[in-house]
Amino acid sequence: MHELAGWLAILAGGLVVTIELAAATLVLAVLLAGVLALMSISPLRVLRIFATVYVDVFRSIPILALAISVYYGLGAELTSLGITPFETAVGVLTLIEGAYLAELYRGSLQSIRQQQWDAASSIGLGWMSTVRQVILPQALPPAVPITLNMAIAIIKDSSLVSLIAVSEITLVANQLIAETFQPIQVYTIVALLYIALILPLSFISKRLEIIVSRRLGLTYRVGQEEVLHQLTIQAEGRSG
Amino acid sequence: MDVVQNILPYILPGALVTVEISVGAWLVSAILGLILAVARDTGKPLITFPVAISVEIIRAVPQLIILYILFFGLGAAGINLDSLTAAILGLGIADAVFSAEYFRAGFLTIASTQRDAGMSLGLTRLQVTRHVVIPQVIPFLVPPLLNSFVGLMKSATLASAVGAPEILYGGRNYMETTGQVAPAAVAIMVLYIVATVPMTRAVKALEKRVRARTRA
Repeated sequence: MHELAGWLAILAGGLVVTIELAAATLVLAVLLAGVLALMSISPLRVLRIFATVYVDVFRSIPILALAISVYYGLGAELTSLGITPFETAVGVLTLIEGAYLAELYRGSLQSIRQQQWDAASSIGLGWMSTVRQVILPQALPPAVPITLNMAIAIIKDSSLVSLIAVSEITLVANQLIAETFQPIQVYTIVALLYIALILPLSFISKRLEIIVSRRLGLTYRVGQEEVLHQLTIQAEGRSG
Repeated sequence: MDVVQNILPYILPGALVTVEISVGAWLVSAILGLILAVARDTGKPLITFPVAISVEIIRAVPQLIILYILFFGLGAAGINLDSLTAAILGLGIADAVFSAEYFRAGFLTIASTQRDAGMSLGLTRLQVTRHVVIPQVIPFLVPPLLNSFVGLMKSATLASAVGAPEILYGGRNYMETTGQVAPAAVAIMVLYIVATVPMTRAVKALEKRVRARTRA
C-alpha cells in the first residue's frame, strides 16, 4: 500500500502536465478551427482554398510523424529560441487537432440551410452580419458537445508526446516502470487515471448532445441519412 | 535524386508494414466491433451491461497505453507478443469500440416493426439481426468503416513505439543513420497525404451517393 501511494504521487505530477498540455492545445485548436471554419464558408475563394488545403494536409499527417520530425529536425533551433518541449508539443498537437476540429465546425456551419443566407441577404445583411447574427447563434450550440468530444480526443492523443520527451503521465509511467519493473500495475493505474479524467467529460458531452438536439427539435426524427452523417463525422473526428 | 534513392530502402519496406498493420487492425476492429454490437443488441442486461462498461473503459484509454499493456505488460506476465501482433491487436481493439458504435447506430436505423415482423415469423432475435437488419445496414456502414481504415493507417505510426518496423520507424532509422531529418520527414508526410486525401475524398463522395439513394 505504501508503494502505491508513492507511485500515485509520482504519476499525479505527470497527470497535471497532461491536463495542462490538453487544456492549452484545446484553447488554441478551438481558435484555429474557428478561423479555418469561417474561412471555409467565406465568399473569398482564396480563403476557402487555403482552409481546404490546410485541413486536407494536416488531417493526413499522423501526429507522431509530425512530432518526431519537428523534435529531431528542429529541436536544436527551438531550444535556442527558448521554446520548451512542452510548447513544441502544444504546437504540434494544435496544428493537427485544429484541422480535425475545423472540419467538424464546418459541418456545423454548413448544416444551416441556404434559405437562411438568402433571407439574411434579402433584408440587406452583409456576410459578416449574417454570420454573426444569423448563422453563429444556430451553429454554436451543436459545436459545444463536438468541442467536448475533441477535448477527449486531445487528452488521449497527448500521450503521444511522451515520445518527444514531454514529461506527461505516459512518460512518467515509463520512467517509473524502468525503476520498478512492474509494467502491468503501473499501466493499469495510468489507464484508470485517464478513465477518471475522461469519463466525466464523456458523460457531460452526451447529456449536452441530448439537450442540444432536443432544443433543435431533432429527437425522434433522426432518419437513416442523419445517423449516417453523424457516424461519418465521428469517424473523421478521430486522429492518430 | 541521390537522396530519393538513399531513402527508399528505409521507407518502402516500412510502408508495406504500415499497410499490414492497418489492414490487420481494421479486420480486428470490424470483427470485434460487430461482435460487441450484436452482443449489445441482444437486450439481455447480463450481456449488454458488461459490454457497455468495457466499451466505455476502452474508449477512455489512449491507444498507446493499450499498446504498451499488450506488449510490455503481457510480456512481463510471460506472454510475449511480437511487436507487429501487439500493434495489430492493440490498435484493432482500441478501434473496435468505435466500430461497435457504428454498427449499433446502424442497427437502430432499422424500424422496430421489421424486427417484430421477423420475430412473428418465428425467427430468433439473432436470426433477425443476421438476415433482416445487417443486409440493410451494410451500405451505411461502408463509409464510416473506410474512414476507420484511413484512421488506422495513421495510428499505425504508434507501432514504432514498440519497435514494429513501420514507415515512421524506417524514417527514424534514416534520420539517425544519416543525421538528416528533412528528407525522411518530407517523404513520410507526402506519402501519407498522397495515400489518405484521395481515400477521404472518395469516402465523402460515396457517403453522398448512399444518402442520395435512400432519399429516392
